[in-house]
Amino acid sequence: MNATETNQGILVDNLCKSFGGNQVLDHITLQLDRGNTYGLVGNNGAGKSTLINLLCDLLKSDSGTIRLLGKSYSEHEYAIKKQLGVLTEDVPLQESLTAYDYLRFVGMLYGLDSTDLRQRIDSLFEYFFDDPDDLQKRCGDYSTGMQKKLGVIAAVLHKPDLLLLDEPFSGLDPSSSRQMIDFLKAYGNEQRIVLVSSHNLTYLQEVISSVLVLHDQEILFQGTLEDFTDNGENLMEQKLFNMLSGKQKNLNQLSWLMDR
Amino acid sequence: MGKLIAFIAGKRIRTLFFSDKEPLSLISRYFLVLIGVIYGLLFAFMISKNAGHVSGDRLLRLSTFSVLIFLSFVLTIKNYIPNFRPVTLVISPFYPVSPLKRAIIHSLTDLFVPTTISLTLFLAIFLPFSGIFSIFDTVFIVFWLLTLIYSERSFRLIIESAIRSFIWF
Repeated sequence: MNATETNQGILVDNLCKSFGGNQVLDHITLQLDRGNTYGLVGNNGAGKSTLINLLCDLLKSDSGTIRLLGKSYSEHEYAIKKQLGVLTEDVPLQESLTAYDYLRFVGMLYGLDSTDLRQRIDSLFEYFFDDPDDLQKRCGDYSTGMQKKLGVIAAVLHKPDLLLLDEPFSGLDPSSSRQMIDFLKAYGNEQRIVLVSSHNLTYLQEVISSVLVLHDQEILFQGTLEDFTDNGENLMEQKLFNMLSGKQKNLNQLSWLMDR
Repeated sequence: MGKLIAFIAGKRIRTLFFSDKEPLSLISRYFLVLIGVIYGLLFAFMISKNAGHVSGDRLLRLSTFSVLIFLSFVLTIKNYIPNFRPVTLVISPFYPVSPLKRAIIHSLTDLFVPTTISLTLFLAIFLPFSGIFSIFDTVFIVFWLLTLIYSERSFRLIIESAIRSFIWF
């Protein structure tokens, strides 16, 4: 492995994906480097989750190539997945298992040593949850926000270099969101690459260093957060609104609903 | 892999038969298993009593295979009626598990459901105690049911894959 290869994060070249004739991603090309936390933003249905699902091998592309950490799935599937942490929109929890058993199960899939695994589970759980007894609750009894936090714990148990998070803030209360922000800020280092997809731009802005805007099946913007917000002069939310729509909707047509 | 299978199987058995959630479902699972045992004993008793008396063993074997056809029918439709039940995905594709290992774990854990447990108990009691079935018959019946279970599973996977390809994520 050469130096360039070890430094590579995510390389996507001419990626296309459609569902039943509906084109969702059209010749997407992008390069994400290690040492950065990227924010993936765009309107509903822009293809953010599709892109993440393609990156983590949950979906197969129609055409194009994906290289993660300098490797392709076709040649080094196992090696890539060992270094990959994923939080999908719907966390794939085993609802009948307790949170502890679920995390143990995930740890076993990554081949983690049981003593080390226990320590990792305990420390991560202590950070994200207030009540240690929740560890013995069934995943099915968890609220949406709790499931999300559990999903993040499961995604980082093996200390992955590549972390893909789809809507990590959805369903979280303000204090849990703050914990998540602090955690994601601390998680990033020069070896790691984090990709976060979210609609919550206020939270996202605190975490990321670079922005990817997905719109109309294409990458509309790729650059640093400073470039996107014009060195902090604009809020990310306003900039994105102007970039994607720019149209203020008129409420007059809903007068029948608003009038007494 | 053995450790992982033992872990999953243990947890599944515990959830199915020792969970304090949904007591009615728990009772129905015990009932289903009990039916397997009782019917196994009854069939074995009936066949062993009549062996050599009623029109020969061939007729008894024929009746047994018609029961198996009925069981096959039940096994086939149980995942479609009253509603379609998707295949349980124990290990998501993004985990570092080889396709072969994943398939083995999924296939084995798929067997830890009340219907299969009940059926296994039924056959484990019925086949040896009825006294008219050879080892060949037993192997044939077991392979028949396994083929049926996995063919039906594959069919469901095809349906799910077709559904997924039309869903916009």
